[in-house]
Amino acid sequence: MKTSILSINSFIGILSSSILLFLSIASISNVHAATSDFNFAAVGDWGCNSNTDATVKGIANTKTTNKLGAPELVLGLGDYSYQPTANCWLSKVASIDDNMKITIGNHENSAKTGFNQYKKSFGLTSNAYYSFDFQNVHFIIMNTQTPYIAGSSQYNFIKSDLAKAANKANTNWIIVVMHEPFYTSPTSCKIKSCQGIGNLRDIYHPLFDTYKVDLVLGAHLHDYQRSFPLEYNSASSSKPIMTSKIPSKYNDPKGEIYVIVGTGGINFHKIIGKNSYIVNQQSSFFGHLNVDITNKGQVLTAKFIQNNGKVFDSFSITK
Amino acid sequence: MNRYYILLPIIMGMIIIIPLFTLLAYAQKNATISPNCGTEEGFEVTLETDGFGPSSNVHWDLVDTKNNTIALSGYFTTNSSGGFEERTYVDDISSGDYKIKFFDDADTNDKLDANKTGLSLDFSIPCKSQ
Repeated sequence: MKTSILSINSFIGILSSSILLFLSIASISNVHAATSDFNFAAVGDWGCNSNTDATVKGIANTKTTNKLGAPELVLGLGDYSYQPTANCWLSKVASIDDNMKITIGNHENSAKTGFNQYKKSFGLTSNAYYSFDFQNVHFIIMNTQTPYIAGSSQYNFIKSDLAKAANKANTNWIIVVMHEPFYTSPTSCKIKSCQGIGNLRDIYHPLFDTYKVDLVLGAHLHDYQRSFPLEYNSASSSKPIMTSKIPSKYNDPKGEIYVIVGTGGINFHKIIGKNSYIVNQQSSFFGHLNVDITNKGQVLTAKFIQNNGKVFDSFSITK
Repeated sequence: MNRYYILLPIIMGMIIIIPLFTLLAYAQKNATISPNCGTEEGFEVTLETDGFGPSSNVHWDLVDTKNNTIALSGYFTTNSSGGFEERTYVDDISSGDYKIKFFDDADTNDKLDANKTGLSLDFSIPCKSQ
């Protein structure tokens, strides 16, 4: 009888231990299944000069200056070598291109400006719009240099992709990358595409609101600009609705934050005024945007880091 | 004794004149823009300078000659003789006469450094017929 009780006790003990062990393993597995901290860099309008070298160095330097180390992903926001071939720029970024994704700008959108070379180097399709997941972030790379109006193949792809991403259980962030931006402060660049692309924002900003895009990264303007969270204003689309006027710390705001990072090194379009929806802007320092995703993928922290190492702007979003 | 009277002015002259010429040579700012004209569609431009502040920064502005409005700008880090040879790209600019101004701007605050001078060169879009 004693033996039986002991056996039962032993059995219960072993069972309890097994359950505890199983729960521990499951718990550890869950930690691994959750998003690990990571960071990515983004910048456009690079050129092929010593400032480009400094931008590459600035991105590489996050290996020692950022607690998350070097970026796991680098996003090219368009306009790279400004030459008939991509050779010079590809050589400049060789040290940081292990995991680089690019959007096409107006300086590489044809065979005469090296499009096929960029296409081959980065595995792009002829349309050069695509999307991918990195941990719990869904990135959508638009191509503002190919047709994008409602009904176009790009529009259909973006709309369908946004709908899927918005419903994915493991996607916490949606980040859109494009070259030519929706919104900008006035600058010394007087051509139409430097005023913010009206029909682009009329088509896509409502979609971004519907599917809760968090961040929209662009370039084309050779400067840095960062907006408040913005929703589309159907009454006057060049004057978007600011859903928050807090300068830097957001808690899952409505609308998207729009950032122009056209500071890769080619030159500057001088900013000559400030639109009310812009929080911070500058056209005096080259540099890049570093974005950290931390706290199991729940906090996004972005910093514009000048090539001299100083931080010009920072903001965070918590979800 | 006479020999000393002859050599002394020569030595004194060398002591004064050689550093003066060296100083002038270093203070002489030079710049070239190649090409100094082009099309509205855009073109690559090489900017070359010498004689600016060594191992520092030189700012450049592409300005309208009429109202000094800046169309494009930038900066480059100089070498030990205050020079650089760098490429940029000029586009998004309407036809007209311009100048490219170069000046010492160590802290890249877009302003000419104290006690320094700059220089400017002509630039046009499109090129003028010869």
